[in-house]
Amino acid sequence: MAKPNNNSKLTLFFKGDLWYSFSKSPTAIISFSLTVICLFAAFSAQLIAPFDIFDLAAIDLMDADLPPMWSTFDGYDGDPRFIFGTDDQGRDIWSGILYGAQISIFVGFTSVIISAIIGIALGLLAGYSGGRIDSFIMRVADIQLSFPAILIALLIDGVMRGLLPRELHDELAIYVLIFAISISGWVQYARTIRGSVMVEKNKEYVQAGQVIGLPKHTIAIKHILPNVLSPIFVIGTIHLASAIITEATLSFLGVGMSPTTPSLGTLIRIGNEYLLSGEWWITLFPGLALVILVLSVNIFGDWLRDALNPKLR
Amino acid sequence: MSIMKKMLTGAAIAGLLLTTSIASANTLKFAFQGDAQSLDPHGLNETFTLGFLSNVYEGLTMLDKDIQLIPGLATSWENTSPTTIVFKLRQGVKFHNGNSFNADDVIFSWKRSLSEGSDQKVRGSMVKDIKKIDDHTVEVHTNGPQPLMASEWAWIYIMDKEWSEENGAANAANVKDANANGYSLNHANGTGPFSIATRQPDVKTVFKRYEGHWNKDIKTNITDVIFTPVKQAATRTAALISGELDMVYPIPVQDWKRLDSEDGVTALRGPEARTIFLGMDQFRDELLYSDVKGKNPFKDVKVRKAMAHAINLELIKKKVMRGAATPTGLMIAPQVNGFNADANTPYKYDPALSKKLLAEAGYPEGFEVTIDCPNNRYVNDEKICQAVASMMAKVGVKMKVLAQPKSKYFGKVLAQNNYDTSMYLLGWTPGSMDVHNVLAGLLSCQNKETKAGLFNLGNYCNARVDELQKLVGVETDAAKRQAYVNEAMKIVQDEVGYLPLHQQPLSWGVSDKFSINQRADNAFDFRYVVKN
Repeated sequence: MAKPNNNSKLTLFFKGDLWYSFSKSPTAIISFSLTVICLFAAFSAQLIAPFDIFDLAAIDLMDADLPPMWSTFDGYDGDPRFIFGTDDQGRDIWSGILYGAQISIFVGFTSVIISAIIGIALGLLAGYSGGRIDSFIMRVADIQLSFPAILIALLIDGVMRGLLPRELHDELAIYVLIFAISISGWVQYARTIRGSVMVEKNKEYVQAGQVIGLPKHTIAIKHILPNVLSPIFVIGTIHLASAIITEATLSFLGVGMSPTTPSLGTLIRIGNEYLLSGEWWITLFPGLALVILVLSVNIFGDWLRDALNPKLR
Repeated sequence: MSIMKKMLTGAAIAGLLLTTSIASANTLKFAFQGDAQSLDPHGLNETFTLGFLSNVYEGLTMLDKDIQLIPGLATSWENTSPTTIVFKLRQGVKFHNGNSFNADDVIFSWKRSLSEGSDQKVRGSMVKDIKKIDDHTVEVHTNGPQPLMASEWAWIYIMDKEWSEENGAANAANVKDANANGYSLNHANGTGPFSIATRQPDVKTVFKRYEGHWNKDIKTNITDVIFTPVKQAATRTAALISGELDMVYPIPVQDWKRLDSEDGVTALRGPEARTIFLGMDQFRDELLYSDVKGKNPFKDVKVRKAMAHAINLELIKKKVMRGAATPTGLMIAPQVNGFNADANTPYKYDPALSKKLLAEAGYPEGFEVTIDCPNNRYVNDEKICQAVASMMAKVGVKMKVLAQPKSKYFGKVLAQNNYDTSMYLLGWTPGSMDVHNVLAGLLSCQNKETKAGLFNLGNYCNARVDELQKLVGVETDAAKRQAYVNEAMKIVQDEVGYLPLHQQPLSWGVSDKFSINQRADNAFDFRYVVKN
């Protein structure tokens, strides 16, 4: 007898097209594994990082500006405790990268989820109601699209910081960032969802729902939404990469995370000051980490888009 | 020839013409890490702002390239009694707008230095009254004997009475209210060798040579100066190396080696007479920014001692300052008159003692405090605060660093904002290069009438030090005076009135196309800039 079909969804997945094209694509496998490794490393930073970079008492200025363990700089030898060397305050770069990536990814994920929720809600509303509501939401979206996302994030970030007292900036920086990045990214979701909803709403099952007198919101949320969600995963994955980059850019410009709770962008900014004096490791390794993270997420997202789009196969 | 090529050639020729015309005009392009706070000569008593303005405004006396006192708008002066000094004013001096300089302007400027928004009240209040003898002679009566009066007049810049009154700038414009009463914040009319052609705060200031300047013998051959604030240290260094800027300061100490290996640029360095120190709020009953409620830990000398012994000055010198600082135990630098090398013993680094003292004072677990710190004023200022915070963490004091650009920092911590700080990092160079300036400005109790202790932001207060300050101010016998100074310094050190850190280095980057005089007080005087 065949196994009972309690894991039929899983079986279905492994027999499905998506798994097939995934298992045949080295790019997908490599980028996916890299993404998973990055996520895993970042979120277990508390366990695997050799130093707690938030604990000021654990930092010793004596260890400042040490080069990576295999090299020598300006008469200082690398120290085996610090694989990738230390920054100007004596913080371990490797631990900094792990904790920094955690913050970067956390900001990225949260912003993507909030963007998606806002975008889906507005897209659904616009697509299903049509008329003035639709025009209004889509014109707002058009206006926002005419500005680069980073500019909008910078604007929101600046306004929020202006409203908050200076003492709270560092504590609230992460929420301000998440807010700024989410608001700057909802448009794509809204447009995609709206398009799909417009197609779906003329289908028979929707008409059937209307005929039996279901309320509008039930039709929209329970019946249409599940049928239009799949592109969201693709947009979400690609948006994750760009959200991480936006966060890094803002932090690099000095309006993101503070040096005491650094994200990857903050680490690169700190290191940037030492580039001219030849202390390359402070900025290079966080930069490399950012490249690997964003590149793998992006490539995986690209592959996902191709795999889910029958026209591109 | 395609249109594209023609356009390119045209652009190239235009560019060439442009560069040659600029070259013949002798333009100096320089950058500092922040902007001058305002153009108001009495708005902020800060070396960079005053140094910046010394090219536009002038005092009765002036400092030359070696910080020696020379005649400025006064040709000579004479003490007719211990409390009277008669200045003979220079004749034929014209302000940039063409108005003549006379005794009324001196009296007006003195009164203005005492007006509400002024940050020069310490200097202004040394004077009791000024009598106009004739248009070009004034008799200055001081509050008690003031042996250093003449050198203080180098920093009380003279404004044109008519111009100021016409433009509603008869009172000093406080740096804090950039919006209110701000004509003098962005406009200037001095007697100096350069006038302000255009100014966009925080973006660009253009100086133009003033042809009508009274002194035809000044060294400079510069006709235009373009100043841009560049916050990022690495950007400043890169702009100097690429030739985009001719002079930048400060150069981060870690970039000295880079400049040495680069052709066409030089890192000018030297010891600065500026002492960097930390101050603590010692007058409020409860700190504004701390988790200790109902009492002020800094009122307890044991806590202050604990703070002093927790800071490793040698390590800050070695790592943050790359060896280019002089750790100090005194609030004055060796260049300052009154410095006593024997008394200069920095507090010993001893975290164990520090912990013990904290426990004795009733804070075995330490406490939390926020330190205010500028991030574009002194050499590596923010990094020093961060390093101190990590050292404090080791003895249990959780120090939060609030690092801000100097405009916001000064706006928060100074008297004009009621000393809104619990702990702060500040640097001080006595403008007169005499210890009395430090005794009066930093070490005396805050006194609203005499304006003593105006920059004693934490109000460290000891009656004997106040007394000694007054004695030092009037004593003419050098040995006796030094004894008073030593006694005052000893008290401040024993009571840990302040936490002196170090004297920072001067660190300028200069293109080899220019010769520039680096003054030990870090003021940049265009009078000595020569294009080679």
